[in-house]
Amino acid sequence: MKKTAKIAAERLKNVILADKVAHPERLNDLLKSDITSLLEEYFELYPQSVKVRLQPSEYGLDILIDATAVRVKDFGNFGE
Amino acid sequence: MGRKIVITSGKGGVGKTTLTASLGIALAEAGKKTVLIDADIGLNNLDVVLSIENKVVYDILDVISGKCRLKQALIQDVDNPSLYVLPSAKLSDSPLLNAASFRNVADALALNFDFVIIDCPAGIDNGFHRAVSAADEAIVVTTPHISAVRDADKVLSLLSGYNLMSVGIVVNRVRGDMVSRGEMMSAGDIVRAVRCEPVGVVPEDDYITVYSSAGRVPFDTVSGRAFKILASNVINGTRNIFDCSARPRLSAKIRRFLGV
Repeated sequence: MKKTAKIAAERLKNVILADKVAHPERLNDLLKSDITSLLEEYFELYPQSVKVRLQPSEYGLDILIDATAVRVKDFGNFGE
Repeated sequence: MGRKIVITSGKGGVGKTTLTASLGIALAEAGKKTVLIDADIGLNNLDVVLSIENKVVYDILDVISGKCRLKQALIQDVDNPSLYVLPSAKLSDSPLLNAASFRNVADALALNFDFVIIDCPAGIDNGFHRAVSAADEAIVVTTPHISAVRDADKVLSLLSGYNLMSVGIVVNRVRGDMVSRGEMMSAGDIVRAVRCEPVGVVPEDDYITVYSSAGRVPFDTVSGRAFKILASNVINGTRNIFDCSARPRLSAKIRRFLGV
């Protein structure tokens, strides 16, 4: 039989992880909007291609950003 | 300028007030002039734990409202002349009891004491904010139970939003015999889960119940030794941890029979 301390430690880890990754629904939308704005400074993005996902990991939360760019913006013309 | 440390937990009943009193005594015994602030407004118990409930004339609200001077409200411990207590107010809804006024009182005390220890109320509402705002350091108390550790973790998240110089955790009421048998989480399990530096581990001790009935805090017992180590860690910044597993727990009857 598994020792109760090990069961408790595993349950604790899962409970704490669940608390840490719990986030308001709007967080994803806000994050996506801000990341899109940032990427648009550097890239010409493929429309609606930015995806942001948050998923639990061993250390807390993995932030996965997926985006497709048509091209890199011409840095030579910045500010001119 | 003395150090201002808040003792908090999130969950009630984990031993915050007993730990505050015991740490205060251990610091005073180590020669540090220490004052304990009971920040648990309306649900004060620090006075009862230290058996000074009959000596309370003025409280923190009287100080804040200017009804008395700070020095007049302080109560000196009978057994430890270096230990003082600032009692909690009985009223809980006065607008004068805010974070800024608490901070002013703590700052004023820090001018004359080596340590200002603040006993934070349970929960994470205004009382928590008041108490934490007055401190520069925090000690989060938990027991080896999932619900207590979960609340401690939430408190650690909240504390990250304050401008604190250090935050440590104390695992209280550890049963060494149960840890040895794999029936209770060890302090190491808990520290790994919450990812916070341990400042102390305190074993479960029947003498705390026995002593508290008589209005005293145990000092010459197994938990007393753990509190001494905790105080030493707080003073010196060391991280020596009391080894609860080294001493199997004996039932009170056997201990009485053996005379230990």
